[in-house]
Amino acid sequence: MTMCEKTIVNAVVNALACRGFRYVATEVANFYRSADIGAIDNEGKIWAIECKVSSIGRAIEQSKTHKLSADKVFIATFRKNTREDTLSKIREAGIGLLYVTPDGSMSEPVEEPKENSPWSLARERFLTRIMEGV
Amino acid sequence: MGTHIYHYNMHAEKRYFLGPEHHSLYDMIALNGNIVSHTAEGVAGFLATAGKEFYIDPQTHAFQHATIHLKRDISDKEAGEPRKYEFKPSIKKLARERLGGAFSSVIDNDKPIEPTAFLDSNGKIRKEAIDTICQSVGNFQLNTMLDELDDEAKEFIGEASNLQPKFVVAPYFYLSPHRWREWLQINIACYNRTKALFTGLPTYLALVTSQEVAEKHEEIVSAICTVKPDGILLWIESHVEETLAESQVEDYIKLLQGLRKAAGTIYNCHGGYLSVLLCHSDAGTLLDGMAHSMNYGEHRAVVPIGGGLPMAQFYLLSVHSRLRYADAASIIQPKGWLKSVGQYRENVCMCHQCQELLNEKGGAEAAFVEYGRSNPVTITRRSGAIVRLEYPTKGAKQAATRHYLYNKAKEFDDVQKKSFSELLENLQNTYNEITSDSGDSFVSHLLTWHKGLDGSIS
Repeated sequence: MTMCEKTIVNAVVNALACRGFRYVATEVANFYRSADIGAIDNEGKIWAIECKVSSIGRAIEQSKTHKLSADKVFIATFRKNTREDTLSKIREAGIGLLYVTPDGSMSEPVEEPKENSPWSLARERFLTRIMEGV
Repeated sequence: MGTHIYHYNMHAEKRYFLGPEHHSLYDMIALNGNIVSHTAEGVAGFLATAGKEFYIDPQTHAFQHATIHLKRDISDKEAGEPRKYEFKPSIKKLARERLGGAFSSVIDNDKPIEPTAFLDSNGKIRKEAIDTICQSVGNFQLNTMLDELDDEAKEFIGEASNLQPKFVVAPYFYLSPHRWREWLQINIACYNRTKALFTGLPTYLALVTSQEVAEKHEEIVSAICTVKPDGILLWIESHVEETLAESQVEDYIKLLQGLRKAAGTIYNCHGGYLSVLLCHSDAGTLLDGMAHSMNYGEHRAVVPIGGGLPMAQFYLLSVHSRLRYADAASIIQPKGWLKSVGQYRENVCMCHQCQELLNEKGGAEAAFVEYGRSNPVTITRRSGAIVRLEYPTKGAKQAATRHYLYNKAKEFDDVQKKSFSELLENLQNTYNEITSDSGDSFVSHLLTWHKGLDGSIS
């Protein structure tokens, strides 16, 4: 993870904590990948968030693994003019998009993720990893 | 029927070669020169128990690459010492005590072998140099194990013929993109001399080439046609069958069609299901067999590369590919194939390993979970970044390996029992079925193979 990505991670972690998320952990193992952030919101839904400065296409691929385990999957990046074709790939993959501003605040989702039905056993496993990482 | 060959890379893999349940899954053992040189007695004992045909890859190409690939780091990392390399003891032994000549000089001078070791200033073959390495490399394959055994071990093993390889592999070098013509000329000279020296056994020519050079198949085939080798061991570097474009599938087939006219037997040393299909008689038996390792090995770079962290993987038979566990789950779970034992057996697998888990765990989901069992590990990268990943448990690795081996045996069996057109149709059907739910990320190769095979084999 680069320093810039770390800035995004910190911004998102702070924003989620402010919004009353029950648990927020960073670098959460999820099968052979690591989710930058794993969190449990106040409705008990599990979020997996990949933080990226660039290479959004790669983040979309990585996020597909997280869809097996999390109720909501997001990519978080710095606020910018995301290209329309990238946005449509994000929509197609059923992933949400969050923007972080240079002052460290996080936007409401630019794209809402589709309703995801994770595999119950994978969800349970990811939940355990989040709790271990808190 | 195609000969199914297992690479024996380390003694810890012995369990997958022996015992009634594993013994019937394969036909031949490929040994690497390094393990034979370093642990000759152990290998001899293993072969005596296995009772299978085998050959020894003398790995002579290893000495033409930068010598760093033959070394290990002996620095004290905890004391913060800078990296310090020395030749691996097993390589030293192979070069100095077994192969000698030009190979020993690589260790003495710390410089790789160049074509000039075997070619004079006019580009003509230096017969004496070729003769020396052919003698030593052939003798190494035929005599090392016998010479290392004491009388007691010889009595245990029985007849000396139990330790005779099926064929002798002539010294060979990798056909690198820039000097491949020189190396091919040397390889052919080595084949001819080995064939003349060791008349009691067939001699095989190893054709180890970059993908780039393999595409120049006409020139290679025409050179090999001049010697008509008893057999060819083919290894196209990093030939990942799942990532080939249709034109590359066609090039591969053209190369094999050309070689078929020249050689008695052709084995692919590192291949996947595409190569298994090419063993089919309706495809002209372009290959007589194919090899892989226990832990995959369906493709391999010539120069060893770092292994990285092992990850849980699952061979999905219908896709004919070993997928990362989560990727396999992303196909299997949404399809509902984990809902019942019947669904699992019909759509995922009915191998012995899966059946054992289904019985033991009492359900499809619980059985499939066993292949993905893992423990979290924390890694600090050189940049200082901390990454948390999952590392498969020993049980998960063993189950995945057995499942893989049962499925490879099934593929060889299908090639014998089913028509080529039925097998091609299965590729198309699986592609259609999986893309409808999961996209084509993990199955696009099925369509590529189908098109390439359909277009090239009539």
